[in-house]
Amino acid sequence: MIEVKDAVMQFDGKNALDGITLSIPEGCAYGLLGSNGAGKSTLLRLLSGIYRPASGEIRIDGNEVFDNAAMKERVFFINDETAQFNNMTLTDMKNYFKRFYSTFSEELWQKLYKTLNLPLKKRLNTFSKGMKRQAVVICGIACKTPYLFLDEAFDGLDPTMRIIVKQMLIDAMMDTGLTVIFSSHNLGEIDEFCDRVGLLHAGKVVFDRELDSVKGSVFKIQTAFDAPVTKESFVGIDVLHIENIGSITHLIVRGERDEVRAAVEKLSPKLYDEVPLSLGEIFIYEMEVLGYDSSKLG
Amino acid sequence: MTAQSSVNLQNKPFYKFLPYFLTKLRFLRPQMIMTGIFALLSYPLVGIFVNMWIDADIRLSEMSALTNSTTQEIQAALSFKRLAQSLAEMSIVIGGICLVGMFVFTFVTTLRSFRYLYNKNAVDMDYALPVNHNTRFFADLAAVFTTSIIPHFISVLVGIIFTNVISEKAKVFWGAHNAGNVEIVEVVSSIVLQCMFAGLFACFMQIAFSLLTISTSGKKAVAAVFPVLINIAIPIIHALALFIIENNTYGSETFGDTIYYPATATSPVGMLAISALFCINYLARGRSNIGNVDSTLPIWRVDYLIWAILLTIIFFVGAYFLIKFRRNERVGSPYVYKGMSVIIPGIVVLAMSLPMWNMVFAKLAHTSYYTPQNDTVAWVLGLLISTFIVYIILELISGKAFRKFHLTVAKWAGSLVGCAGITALLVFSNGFGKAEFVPAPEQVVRADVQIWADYLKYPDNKTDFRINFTTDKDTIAEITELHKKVPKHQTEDTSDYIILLNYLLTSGEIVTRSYWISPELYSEMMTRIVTPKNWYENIYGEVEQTLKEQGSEVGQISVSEIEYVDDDAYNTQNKVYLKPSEFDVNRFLEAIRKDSEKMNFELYWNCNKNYLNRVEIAFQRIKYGPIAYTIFVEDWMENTIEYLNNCVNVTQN
Repeated sequence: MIEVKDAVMQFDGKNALDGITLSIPEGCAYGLLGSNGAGKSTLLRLLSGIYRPASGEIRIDGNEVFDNAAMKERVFFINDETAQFNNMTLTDMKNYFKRFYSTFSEELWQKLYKTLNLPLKKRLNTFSKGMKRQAVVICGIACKTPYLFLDEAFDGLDPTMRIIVKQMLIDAMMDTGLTVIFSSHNLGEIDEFCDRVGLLHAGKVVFDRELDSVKGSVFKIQTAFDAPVTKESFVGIDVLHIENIGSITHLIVRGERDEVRAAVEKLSPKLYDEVPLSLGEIFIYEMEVLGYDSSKLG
Repeated sequence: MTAQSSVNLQNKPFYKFLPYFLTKLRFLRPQMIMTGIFALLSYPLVGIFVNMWIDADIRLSEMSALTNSTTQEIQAALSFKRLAQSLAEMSIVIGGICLVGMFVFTFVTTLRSFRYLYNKNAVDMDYALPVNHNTRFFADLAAVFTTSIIPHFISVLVGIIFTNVISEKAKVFWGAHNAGNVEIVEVVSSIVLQCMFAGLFACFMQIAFSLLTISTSGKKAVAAVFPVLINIAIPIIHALALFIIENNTYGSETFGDTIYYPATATSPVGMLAISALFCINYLARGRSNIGNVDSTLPIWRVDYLIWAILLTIIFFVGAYFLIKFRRNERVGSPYVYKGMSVIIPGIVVLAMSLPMWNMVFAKLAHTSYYTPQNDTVAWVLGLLISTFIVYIILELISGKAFRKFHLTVAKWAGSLVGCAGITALLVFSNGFGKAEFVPAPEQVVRADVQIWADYLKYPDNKTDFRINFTTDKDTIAEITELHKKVPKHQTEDTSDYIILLNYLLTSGEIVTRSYWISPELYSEMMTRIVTPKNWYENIYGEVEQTLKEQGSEVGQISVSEIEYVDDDAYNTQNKVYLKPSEFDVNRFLEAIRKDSEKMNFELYWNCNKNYLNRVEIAFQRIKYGPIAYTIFVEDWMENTIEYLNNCVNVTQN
């Protein structure tokens, strides 16, 4: 289990993570969402023991991670860059990780490698970005650590490869109970892959919930009233976004469906229709509330 | 946290040391190959070709000595000797370059091994691995040692073998021509061996020094450039600080290059530079140093060696903790420790500004004998412009875009003020107690004292007296007692009398002082030191010592009368050569000793220029070669004159 308690990280005196608290259960596929610079990569580096928090606690299975070699052997981190392996061949890379992770499975690596069919003896600097990614991911899975953290891991993979790599991760989760934390801007992937998501913004956790709960709690309503309405007209419900197109009013609302419906019906709507939202839309509206509004840019 | 998910994982101190070490060693393979090549082309290559050269020389000598050698054979041997000589000379040049290469690559290897200190990607790569700080630090260090120091050390071992082989051959070969050459070969090979280990130690210290500097940096350009600058700046600062203290301390006297020798202990470049300076000084002066001056390289003197070892340990320990507590998220910034953005460029500015600030402050303090009379304004202006340009360059290296240029200017100005403060401290410190220092007699191995008065004011008297490098404990105690009486500040009425003291301490340090003294103190000192014993020891002690060490085998003796031309010059006339077999040096000295019993300050003061004879004695020394002494006989030396008169009458050629 991963526990983050009041973790603070500073870059040049500014808080990159501002006292965040999270709890991620074992075997979970956790999607980490956030705007650029929200602190996703920083959080993953804290969890991997690369950074030491300025204050607060980072614990995995009850142990601190930073400078704890035995704990780190249970964690594998794939960052958003692969340049550090450029001088290695795929075989070198495999042997490199094999030396450090006692749980490394040669058999599994061979199986994964055969699926991807990457060149064994060419240096990684001759690989494309996607190929480098595949190489690191199969090493990460073959290390068979209980925790795998991926920062923008599918970045550069073609659609077919995305499916293959995703399947590899799902298999690993099924086989070994692997806990995966997965940061991405591709919300579709998180939607498909994760069962829990956390949204970071400006170093703070906006929400940390089961994906179904997130999707169930934010929804779109198409409605129509006799008189024009504003956000303030809806008392007792959390309206994230309101848009009037002709006589139709579109509301993005957060809350319990029944409570929301009751609140809207107090205004005697002529029309009431609930439309499900994708994770991408939820992200956009949640961020808009926090002032991260695309309509204000440009 | 659930009970099931909690796992107690102990953090073992050197977990996964071997895999990490082997991985890093593999990573440093290019550096290891380069260092290996440098090591091979240094001492081993030089050893092979110098050995070949001396073999060829010996062969040529043997061929020339053989009566049945043909001209063609001798010619062939000569050609081969020339070839061997040119190869040896070439190998010495290549070897020198390779030694520099090994020194530079020690830094490059350290930089590369600890690349996670300044490379963001390497931070992720190394810190994500299941190793802790101890494993990472010590395995990286071990990889640097294996890559840099081990090939160097093997090369030194081969060098030692060659040095011994070559020096044994040289002693036999050149010693046959002249016994004194054996001593030269022994001293030169001892210096060569010392230099080899000094080079090795400098590389060792280089790792510690570079690591300490790199551990504060977070950017490649800073990590690559600043350790080099600091490495050069430290010995400059140290040497300049010594110079400033020496020149601004009343009583202190610069004594050649030896005052800079402490700079051998504080940085790798300082160690190499001072070792080179010592070798140039020692070997360039040739035979006169051999046997007379200590041939120990400064770095191998106990006091400096202890400092160098201690500092190397401090550098390593400092680096260990700086790396342990550094914040990885700051990698990418020029410095991971913020204060370093002031300290590191400040060190460079200090190295530049010390001499210029010294010009300013020494003039204000009126302490330095060597303060030039140039206009201070020019120095200050030069100081401002040059340091500003350098500071801007250093900031550019750090990646500053000068969006807040005024901050850079403020930092530069602050550095200059700081440097001025440090220089003022050095100038006005009066040597940090050095001016008051009088060594205890038991600390002194050898002492030398010279006292003199103004010759112009006392043209008819003998005003100067010297106790020449005495090791006599009672005399040393007397000298230190006199030293304590000297006022350790400049007084108004003491410009006619000077005392110059020189001590060699048990620590190897040389302490030299010179003071103005009052006429009363001059008289008191002269009365106490112009004694029969000191007078005899001063003038005839060395002859007697040579007799004791070498036997009384005299090569040539001449006696000549002296006629004075003016105050400083004389002519010799009526030169007479005596038969060595009939001149007894011991009896001659005995006569002098008997005369010396009359000696006191009054006699000494009044006997100036009453020389009668000049006696020249040449000895055939076995160990150091021939040496000649000149002894002046004065008119009051009745016993000596009587002996010489008898001798001349009997043995005149």
